Amino acid sequence: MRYDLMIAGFGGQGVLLAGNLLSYAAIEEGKNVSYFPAYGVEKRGGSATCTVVIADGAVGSPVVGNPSTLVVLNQASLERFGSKVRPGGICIYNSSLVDVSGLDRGDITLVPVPMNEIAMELGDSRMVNMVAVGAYLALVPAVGTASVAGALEQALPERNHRFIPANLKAIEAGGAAARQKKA
Amino acid sequence: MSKRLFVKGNEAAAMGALEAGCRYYFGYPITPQSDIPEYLSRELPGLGGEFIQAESEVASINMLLGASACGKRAMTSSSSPGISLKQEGISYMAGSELPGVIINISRSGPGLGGIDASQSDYFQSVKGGGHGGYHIPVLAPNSVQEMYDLTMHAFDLADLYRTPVMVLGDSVVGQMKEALVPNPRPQRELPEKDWAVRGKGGGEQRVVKSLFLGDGELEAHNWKLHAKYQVMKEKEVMYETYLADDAELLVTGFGSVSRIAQTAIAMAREEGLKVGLFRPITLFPFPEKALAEAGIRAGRVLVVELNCGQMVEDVRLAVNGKAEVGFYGRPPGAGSLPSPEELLDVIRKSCARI
Repeated sequence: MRYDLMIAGFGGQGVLLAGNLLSYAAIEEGKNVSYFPAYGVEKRGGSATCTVVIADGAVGSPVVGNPSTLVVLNQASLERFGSKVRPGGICIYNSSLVDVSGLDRGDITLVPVPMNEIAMELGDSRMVNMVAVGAYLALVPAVGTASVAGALEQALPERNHRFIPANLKAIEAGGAAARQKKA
Repeated sequence: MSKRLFVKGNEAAAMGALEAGCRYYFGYPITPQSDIPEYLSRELPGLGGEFIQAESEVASINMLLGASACGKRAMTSSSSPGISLKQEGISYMAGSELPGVIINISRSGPGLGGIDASQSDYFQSVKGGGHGGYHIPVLAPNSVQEMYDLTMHAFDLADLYRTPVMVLGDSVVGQMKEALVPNPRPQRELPEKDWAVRGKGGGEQRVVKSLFLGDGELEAHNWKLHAKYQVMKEKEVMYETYLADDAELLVTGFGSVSRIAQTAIAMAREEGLKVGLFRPITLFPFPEKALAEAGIRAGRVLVVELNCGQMVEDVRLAVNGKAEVGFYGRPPGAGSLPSPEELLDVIRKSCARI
């Protein structure tokens, strides 16, 4: 199988960490993976995207024009990439910040997840990216949730390992929200 | 088999350099290659090596020249504008027959340009770059694994031929992360560095220089260098093909764009189009014979580059009019990377014209 995913948001939302986490999980499962980040020169507030390809065989192009899954965390990213999702694909969007009424895509599955609200309920708005990872894993079986739990140790610097249980909760909450919306 | 790591291409190149026995690094930071000095600044002191952040690119290439003249494995890295500044030193190293590795994680230009992926330094890399009509081997990795393996290989080539060697990448291969198997350094028989300077009291005087003023001396030196380039062309060419045997359209590109092309070719094959890939790994020596054979067999060659047309000139020289040569290029800059889907479109159009 080959899964491709684009995650997009603004700098500071943890887009790159989310992509890294899924990649480490794929490595853990013995799969091939490419993680390709693209971001502006700004530290915060600019756009940040990453493309992750997970495959049993060769990864091929690390650049993907029409991703099968798009996860968007802010409005600007929806406007930039919403039209590019492959027909039949999935767009998971952060409904706390993103309005999809202007997007004319009857040919893809739109899944709203109020990522900021869920993260705030868990006590930390910085968990938005983990909520997004959970939502993605609930809809696309690119990697197992157990491998993601293991991969947190590699994706996070050691000083942040104390936050792993909180991150796992956020992943779980994101998954629950996505499953509910899809059903 | 060693454990698979998950690292950035830039880090992989730095790891490859350490495995190859490089213990001296001199550089000056510039995006998108600063992970290389960052990694080495952390690792080299503990290995008994030296990491120096020089005051400029010009200083750092001359420090590389100095370390190499002492017989040590040493390296510098930069990105396009910084590599331009190093050209004088590279020319002096080529003239003095000094080994050394230079990594260029190129960015878009001309001038300060931008930080995005670009292949617009092809001409500068393979046609000399600095003054004086020299060549240096140029290796073009297209994966994180090759960033590691080819950097190791660069050190061996440098010592075998007493020449600077360049590893030419861009922000795609530098910034992306993939699985890496940190292979051990290959065992190769390398010549003794009986030319390296040793300081006073080291026996017979040794001189490392690129100035030759005696009658006929410089001409002889240039013929010697020229002969070395011919041996490289005979022995050191590297390339890779993918579905090229029965191809009626041969796509060729180096480095990052070859990865995009490979997926586009796989998509084209699913549509029944007979398309294959030829990827030069050494840009100098250019795989002219193998490319000519494959290109003439296919009849049509499509060159793809992240620039407005550079390697296409070497492809035309290689096939020498015996195959039709088309070109698709994208000038460098933000948002300029073609997607596999876009390249597939170009391939479809090229095939329709057959």
